Amino acid sequence: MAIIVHGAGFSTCTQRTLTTLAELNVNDYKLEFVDMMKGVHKSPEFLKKQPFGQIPVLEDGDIQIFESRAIIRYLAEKFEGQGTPLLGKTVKDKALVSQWLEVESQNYNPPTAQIVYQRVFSSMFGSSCNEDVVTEQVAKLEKVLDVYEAHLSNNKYLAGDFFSLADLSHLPYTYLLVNAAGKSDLITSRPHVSAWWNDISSRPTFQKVLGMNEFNKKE
Amino acid sequence: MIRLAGKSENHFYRSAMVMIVYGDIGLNPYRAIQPLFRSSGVDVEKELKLVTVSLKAGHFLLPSYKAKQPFGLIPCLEDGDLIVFESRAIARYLAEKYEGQGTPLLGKTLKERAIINQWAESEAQNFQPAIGPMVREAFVAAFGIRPVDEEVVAAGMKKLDQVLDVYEAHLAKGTKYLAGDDFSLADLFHTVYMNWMKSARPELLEKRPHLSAWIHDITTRPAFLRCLQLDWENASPIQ
Repeated sequence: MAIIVHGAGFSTCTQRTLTTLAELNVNDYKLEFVDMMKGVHKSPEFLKKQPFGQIPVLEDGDIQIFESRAIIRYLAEKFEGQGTPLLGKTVKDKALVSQWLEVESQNYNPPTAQIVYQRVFSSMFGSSCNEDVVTEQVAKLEKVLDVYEAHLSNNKYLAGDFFSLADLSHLPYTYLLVNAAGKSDLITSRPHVSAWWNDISSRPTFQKVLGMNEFNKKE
Repeated sequence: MIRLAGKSENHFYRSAMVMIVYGDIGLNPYRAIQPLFRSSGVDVEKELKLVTVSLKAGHFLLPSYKAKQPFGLIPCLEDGDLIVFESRAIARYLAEKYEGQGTPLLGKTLKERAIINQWAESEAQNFQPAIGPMVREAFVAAFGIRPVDEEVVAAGMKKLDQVLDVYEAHLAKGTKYLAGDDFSLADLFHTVYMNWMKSARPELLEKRPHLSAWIHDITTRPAFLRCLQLDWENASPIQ
């Protein structure tokens, strides 16, 4: 039975899921568009799948999972052995992947998501950009990125010398930070972070997923 | 540290040294090492050494600590030549290391593990952002750094109300624990902050009987109570 991803191509957390599928060479899946503009994600129907009213949700046979970081773990475990070894190979690899996934989740994502929300999404949802929040969160993110810069000067990728779920998890929001929120300087001013970003964001898998953004016009 | 000659990189060798956890009395350090107290056959006193990294004393700024945890946060675990930080990553690592000893915190099948991870991520993405700022306000006020920011607390309570309603509805469906009939890593991730919440904000448990029952269960298990008895006061501080 094929996999269904309930989400949206423009949604960061959906992109996290779709990129993982691509890295694992899993192409037999369907993206079911959840129209958030129409409030579908808060409908009683959808809340049965995802009680917090968020996307994405993955359906795989009788399994239904929400939270993109749980979904990508499930996929990486299920399809271990094909495509990119996203969890690494050794016990030590896995521990470091978990560690940097948590760093992304707890240290990198909160300030980044707030900057992106203010600069990119606030107007879409009937609000306006609060530059005070942007300034405050940029200061936090700078401190985090300083640690990344030092770490990536000794490591090609976050968990070591291999591309993993930890690097992947940074892709969607960082893309918006750099290309839509006007904060590319945070990345480009740090040579090792910059090199890492260029490397991971140019992966064909992520490029393919960016092409699934409903707002991108295909010529 | 003893390296076993002839072992491939894939073989995880047990070092002659005990594991070291760097932390202090607080919340996240307990989350990190709680799995050790779940596993049968783990003599925690023999397997684990505590080293204090005191926030008050500024230990987190020491180069010796930053070399291990570059963000300067606690806790941090050292197991032979492996250093792991982030309490949830440490807990997951320990759950995997001691898999097969005691309750299967990560489930027995891929499907079980997927649901466990789902609720574990819910803790990180829904519960933590709501409760974290409130805990911070309480600690900041307790240390006399500045008065409580009532706006932050009000916003936190509002978010928590929404999140806890979801938990109540979920647990009301008859599931004993978040991911099913067995205590798992998902419940474990929540334990220490739910424990804080039940005494600091008991009003959040009123009118939520299933949430209350679950919180009472996970916070009174002997394993968790033993975990809370870790003797940080007599631990040696980091040099």
